[in-house]
Amino acid sequence: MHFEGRETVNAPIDAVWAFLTDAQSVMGCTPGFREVEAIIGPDHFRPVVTASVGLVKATFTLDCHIVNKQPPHKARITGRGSAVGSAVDAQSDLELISESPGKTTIIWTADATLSGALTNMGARLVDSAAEKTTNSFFACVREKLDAGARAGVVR
Amino acid sequence: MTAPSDIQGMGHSVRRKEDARFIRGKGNYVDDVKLPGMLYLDIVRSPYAHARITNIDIAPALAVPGVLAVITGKDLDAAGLAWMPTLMSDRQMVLPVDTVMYQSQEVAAVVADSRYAAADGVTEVGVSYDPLPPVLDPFKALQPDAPVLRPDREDKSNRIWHWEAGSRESTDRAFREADVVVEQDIYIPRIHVASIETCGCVASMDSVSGRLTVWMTTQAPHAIRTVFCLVSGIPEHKIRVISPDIGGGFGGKVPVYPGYVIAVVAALKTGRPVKWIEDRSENLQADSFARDYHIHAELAANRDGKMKALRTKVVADHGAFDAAANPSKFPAGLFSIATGSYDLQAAHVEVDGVYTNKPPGGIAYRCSFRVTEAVHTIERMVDVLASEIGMDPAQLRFANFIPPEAFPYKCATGWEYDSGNYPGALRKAMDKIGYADLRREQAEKRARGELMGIGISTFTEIVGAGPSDTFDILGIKMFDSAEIRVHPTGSAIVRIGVQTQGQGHETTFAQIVAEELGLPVDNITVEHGDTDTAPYGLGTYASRSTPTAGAATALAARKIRDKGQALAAHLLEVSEDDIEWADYKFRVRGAPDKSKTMADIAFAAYTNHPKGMEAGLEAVCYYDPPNLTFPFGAYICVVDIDRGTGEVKIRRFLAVDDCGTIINPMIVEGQIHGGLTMGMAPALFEEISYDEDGNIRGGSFMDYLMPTAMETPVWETDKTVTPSPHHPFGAKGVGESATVGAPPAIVNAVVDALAHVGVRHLDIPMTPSKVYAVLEAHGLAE
Amino acid sequence: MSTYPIRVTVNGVEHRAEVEARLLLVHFIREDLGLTGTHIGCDTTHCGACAILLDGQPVKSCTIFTVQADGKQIGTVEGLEQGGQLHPVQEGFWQEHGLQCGFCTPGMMMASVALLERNPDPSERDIRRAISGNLCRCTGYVNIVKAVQYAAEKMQAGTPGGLGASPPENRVPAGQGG
Repeated sequence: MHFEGRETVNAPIDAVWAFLTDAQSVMGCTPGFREVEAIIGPDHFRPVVTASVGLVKATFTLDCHIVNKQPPHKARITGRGSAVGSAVDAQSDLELISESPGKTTIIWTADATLSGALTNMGARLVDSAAEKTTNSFFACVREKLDAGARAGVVR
Repeated sequence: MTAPSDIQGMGHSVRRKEDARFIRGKGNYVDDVKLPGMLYLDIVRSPYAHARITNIDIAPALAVPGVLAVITGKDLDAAGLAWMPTLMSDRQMVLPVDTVMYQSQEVAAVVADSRYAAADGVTEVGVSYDPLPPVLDPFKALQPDAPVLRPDREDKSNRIWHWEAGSRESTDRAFREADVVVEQDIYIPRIHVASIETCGCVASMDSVSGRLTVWMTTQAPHAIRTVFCLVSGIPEHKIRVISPDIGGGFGGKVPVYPGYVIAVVAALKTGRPVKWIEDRSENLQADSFARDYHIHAELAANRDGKMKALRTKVVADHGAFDAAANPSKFPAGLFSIATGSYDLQAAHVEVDGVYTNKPPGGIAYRCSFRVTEAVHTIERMVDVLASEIGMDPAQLRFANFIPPEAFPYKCATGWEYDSGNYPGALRKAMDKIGYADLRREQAEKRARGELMGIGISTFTEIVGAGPSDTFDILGIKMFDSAEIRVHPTGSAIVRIGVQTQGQGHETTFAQIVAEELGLPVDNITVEHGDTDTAPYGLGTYASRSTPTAGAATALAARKIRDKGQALAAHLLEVSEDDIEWADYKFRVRGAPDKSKTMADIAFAAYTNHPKGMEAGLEAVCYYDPPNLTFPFGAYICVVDIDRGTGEVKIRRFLAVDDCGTIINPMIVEGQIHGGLTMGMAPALFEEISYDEDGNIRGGSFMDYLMPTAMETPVWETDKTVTPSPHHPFGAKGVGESATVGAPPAIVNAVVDALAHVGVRHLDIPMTPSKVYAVLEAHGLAE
Repeated sequence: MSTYPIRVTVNGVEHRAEVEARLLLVHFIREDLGLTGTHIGCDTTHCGACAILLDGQPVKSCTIFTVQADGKQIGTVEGLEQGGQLHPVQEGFWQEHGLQCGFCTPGMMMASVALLERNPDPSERDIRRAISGNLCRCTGYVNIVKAVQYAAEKMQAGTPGGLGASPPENRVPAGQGG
């Protein structure tokens, strides 16, 4: 599956960069995030995430990396993991463009390969569920960053 | 005194004996079998279509309360059981040692003391995979740079085999000489038969006697017993396979699935009975599919409509293992019957079987060994030709039918059709449905912008496999058998080598014996499915039961009649030559009042047999059919297409079938109703497809759409009767005719509805979205 | 795993049991009560092979937990025959060849019984809609509809079921000759 989009956030580019390359922040905005299984390094973390498609819920332990960092403009987040009967392999490329001191555009692409029960039981729902997940993530990012910018704090 | 009306033999719509238990919920299906100490098996399956297994962690599963054991490929490999032979002389993994070949392939198995504990155990087995790119397109699989999917095969190629029939030379010449050539690509997608009962077994090893008993959803218990013996090393007399009541087979219960083998291993390993019953999703995702034929067809004809030759080239997607249960010399089944009901001077068929990362199979959906694909091809091509030369499709068929006087008829691919009357069947169908009126109605509707179509299918089936010189499965010849024993008080027990899964054999085979021996059908018990007692048979699939075991039953009965003749002569104190069999009695020629019934004879066989004659009254027959049989039919379908939704509504469907002599008209009609529904289903609804990662689409009933009572029309049926000249009572078999004949009739109808805007062909399933796209492309959508 | 006490009446007989919360009603009926006439044909509530009557309503027993049936009346196929007399629906299925492999039949019959209880004179469309939650792969539904029509007629005429062990009169179906 392939998705792409652009989001504009009312926050300076450095704040956006800091947010999107911080494991805790990223996990905090991931829909279905349950808990942290491990934090192995600043760019390597293992969240436990529950995804649901149709009747099927699958709880994944994902192995995530933030790589190819070119601060404050480009980075890639990868996540691989499996649940009972399902597997996911995803990566997202981010490009940040400073529109103005208080406004940043995020251009993102996401590629995900989903295998197994999640796709079998809800074949027709997978695409829209994945889209919903991605939209939800960025809505959360926007909210946190806008609030943070207003409050002068980035969480 | 038995009145002839008590006999209820051939031709009577005897109500089924087996229904007594089914309507009371007292059937005995595999999942109803319960043995003391029985354990349950559940299977861990791969989410990936192609992957290397890097690790299997069974410890967490073993820690689940109730779980006794976890079996992996490594365990089986140590016992030489990780691979098993398929019925097509390929081999198939029971459990993989290191590589997974299709999504939902079995990867490990959990044995537990309850169904729920086994399922819990499955969720705890930790399998680590390294995904590999799946090969899903058979054309790509044939490219030289494609990864070799089966490195275990000697010729490291994704082409499993190449098979041809007919004469390329004669066909090419006929094509060169023809005025008109039409060509068409036809894709018949993968479908799944989804009988309402899934597959399963209960395996039980008796440690004292050393006997293995397996209750199994199998359409061919004896063949399974022999295969189990060869694979496990347990002597065949110590294996008992029992097919109890089977909830639908249709070919899906012929293959040996890994679950059966793992259950047997688990039974041996634990010393307790082990039950394995698959879920519906497992059944759809991993068990044998049908179709998946990519066909390129060409038909050559003269401008006046005389068809000359057929040429087809097929790429057959067989999945990761060649496990389609075809007779061994026919890897593409009986596809070469694609010459159909027509007198073609030449034909050439070639088929390439290909490996892909999909489940194995190919013929498990009521297809008579690929006859569905063959008939779909020729019946579509006839309509494509009709459209090309501007001839009415019925007229084109009449101009090309093999005439009734030409039988037995040897077709261009070598089959000798036994008998047929194709013009008679089509004429009957056209008259009954009012074909001319329908064409008039269509013209009126078309002028008003309404889309109505009329589609014809005149098919020839080929069933009753088969003669021993050409037919065998894994070397076992495809005869079939019957054993009849008549008791002193005039009732009888019949045991046969075929296996009903709903076809009504307990009734129809009793009717055969009733007719042949003049005994009331109520006094005849039919048994089958227990390899300890039934004579060796090859089972029921491909509509073979009546042509083979039915013949064996009649001939065994006639052996009994021969002995009865001698006993009658003894009782009536005349010579054997003076006895004739008529009106269900042995009577003295010229003195018909002096007679004995079979009941009299039976009593005498035990109480008053002549010196020198063995007592008892029984016979066995193993029947080697001299040829296949060729049922046929003429189907006419009327559709209306909704221009706003693309929905195809079948307004009328008339099926005129000819299966030769009919044993039980009610049962034949039921077979046709069911077959038509399983012909409509792939034409309009069903498809199993895969996304680019090898994920199955259609892996549960949420996505795999089958017709309910709401979608199914009221089927209209009629018949002609053209007996088979070589069958003991002229019968041909009928179980799959409707599944073979219906889909092209429906496609032809839909294409006919759109012919006026230049539509030539549509691939099935003709779903509303697909049809709507065609309407849009031609400015017909509302 | 903790268990819960339940009390259900099945075909008029009360049963008490201790069951896990997650035990599906169909498994309880088949395995704990040994009534194997109710069948399992799918895992997504589509096929209807498991249909039973729950307080008179046709319900798919694979999609109900046993604990949800606590205190309720359950009717299964085994309860249709009364005092050696077949229910008219059972008779209809036998007479009209409304079954072949028999696997969908119990669920099909329970759905039909429920229909006739609320609509004693159903049209063909009513019947097809009532059984649209029951999949059959063998019969093509035509004879199932006839079976229900037979039963409706019989029940309206007030004649009780009259068949025991032997099959009904052999009748010739239309279109196939004698």
